[in-house]
Amino acid sequence: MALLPKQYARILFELTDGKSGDDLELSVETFVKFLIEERALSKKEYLMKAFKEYAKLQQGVKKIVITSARELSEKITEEIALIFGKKVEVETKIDTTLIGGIVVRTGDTIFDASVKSQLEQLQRQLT
Amino acid sequence: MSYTDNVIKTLQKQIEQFEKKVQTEEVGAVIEVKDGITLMTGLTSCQSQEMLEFPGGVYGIALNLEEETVGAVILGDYTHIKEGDEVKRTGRIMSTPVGDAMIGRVVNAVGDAIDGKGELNTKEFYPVERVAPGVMTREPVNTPMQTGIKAIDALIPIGRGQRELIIGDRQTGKTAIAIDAILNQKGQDVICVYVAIGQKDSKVARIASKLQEAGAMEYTIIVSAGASEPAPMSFLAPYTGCAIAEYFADKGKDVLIIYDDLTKQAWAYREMSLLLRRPPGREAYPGDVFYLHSRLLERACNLNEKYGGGSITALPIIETQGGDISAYVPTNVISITDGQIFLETDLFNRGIRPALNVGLSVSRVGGSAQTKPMKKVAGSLKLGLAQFRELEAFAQFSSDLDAETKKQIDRGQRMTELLKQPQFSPVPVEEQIISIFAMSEGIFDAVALDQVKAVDEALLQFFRASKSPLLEKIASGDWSDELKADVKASCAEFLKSRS
Repeated sequence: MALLPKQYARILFELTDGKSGDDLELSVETFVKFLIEERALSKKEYLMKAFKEYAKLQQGVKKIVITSARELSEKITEEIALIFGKKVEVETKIDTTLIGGIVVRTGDTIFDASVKSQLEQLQRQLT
Repeated sequence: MSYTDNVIKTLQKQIEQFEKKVQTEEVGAVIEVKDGITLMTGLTSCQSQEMLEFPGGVYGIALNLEEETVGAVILGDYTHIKEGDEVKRTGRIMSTPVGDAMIGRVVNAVGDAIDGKGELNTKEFYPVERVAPGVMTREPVNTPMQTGIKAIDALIPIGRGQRELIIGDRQTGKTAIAIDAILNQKGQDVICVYVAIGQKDSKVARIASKLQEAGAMEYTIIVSAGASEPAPMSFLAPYTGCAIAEYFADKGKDVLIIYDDLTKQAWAYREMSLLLRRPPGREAYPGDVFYLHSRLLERACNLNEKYGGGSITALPIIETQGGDISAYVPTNVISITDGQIFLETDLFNRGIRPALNVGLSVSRVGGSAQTKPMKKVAGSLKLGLAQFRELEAFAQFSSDLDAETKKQIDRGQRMTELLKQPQFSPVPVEEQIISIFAMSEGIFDAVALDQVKAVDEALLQFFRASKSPLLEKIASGDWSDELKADVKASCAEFLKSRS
């Protein structure tokens, strides 16, 4: 079975971590040869994206996505980011169907504090 | 205070009490969807058999947990699910709603009503997969489960808590036996669950209306995974049916569950396994196809008093191809169950219905559950039929037989005739005993072969009309020498009244 972009990213990271100059060149060359062998060159875009994410995670940078109904002020965004740690990369999204409140996603976990989900919970409780 | 005010006040109170909580959810993303199977990333702490929520309110079950991915089957329509879709964990192991409200209803493999009679008002959930009751909770099979079919109740008796396989080719009357068994449970305080797996929806509708007509839906639940539904539904339906049965058994009730049929479940599981890339084995079934059926049938049980005294009797059905009972799935299920009822096309076409092959059919534990009078009279029937079968084959080639052999063959033919029984006409056990006893007493010996049925009916009519105390005594399990003599005298009286 073919490997996932995430798995390729991990291989690439471990291969190149802490290397520079000729060493780095050699490692990348080995990796490209491996990709050719695996017939995975066509996936290089996904792979680069996955690598960027993986590398950031390894360097202790967390990525969070904040979705809100209206645009948030920078102060609020910063405060939210602080909850998740010092090195945080924030991406914001607008989704008016949330009605109000925010939804924060980090990795595979979602913290849902939107008015929409509160209403859904209320509906479930009342029926 | 008016009614409306009251309602508004309660509503207000409920809303005020509502706690605002931040929901934490774990999600994953779909990588791949094909034929009802998805592959996902994320869902890091997903459990095996956990329900997953896909967009559009469709649920799935996580089956393959791998290093980077989770493989799941989708229960329901999967055409709208696409790559990159968000999948949520529910934290719930696959479970089905259960409750008394289910009686008389038709539900699908996930326990939702599909008979158009409105939503089910159930509060409890039972896990679909549950470990079978252990040794300490069980007791030996000791109460009969009457099917109302003479050939079965006399020769291959079934006890409550037993697992008796019904096996045969297509069109041999397998479902007919199961339906007759359900019909005969009327007034016996038994709950019946009929699980239709991969059956035509028209057939399920026909069975439901037949049961309704006979008043059997008052104690029956139908679980149906139709032929048009995806394979996972067929895979799941027997477990759902069993969970519903367990709910009633836990309440101390006796339950009869019919799986019609497990061959189709094995096919559905094979399809799922191949799509999930599990290694195929014999006949392309996965390695755990035995466990698929053994863990299901092991949940049939006869609980002892300490654990409520309920029971689950299972009648799994297996369809063979060309009478081949040595194929993979049939041999598996034969070895799991406590006996089998073997139906043959040959007999069916010769007009012997139910088309029971008495030689190949056995019941390994039911004998101890037979009532005393039935045990006594059935002994001679079994012996007579066995001798008849031996002689029949050999008598085909020679016309001049000695008187003794001739007599045995005549008796055997009449026995076979007596055991014929039309569909949807179960016979109470006491009447079965009278018929079989009368046969062993030679009442039918002088009757022409095609008249056996009519005479039998007349005999029973005679007993119902003028000897009902005797019938009641037999029904209560009495078979003293005195009673036997009384029945014998009554038979003689009947003969006299005819001539």
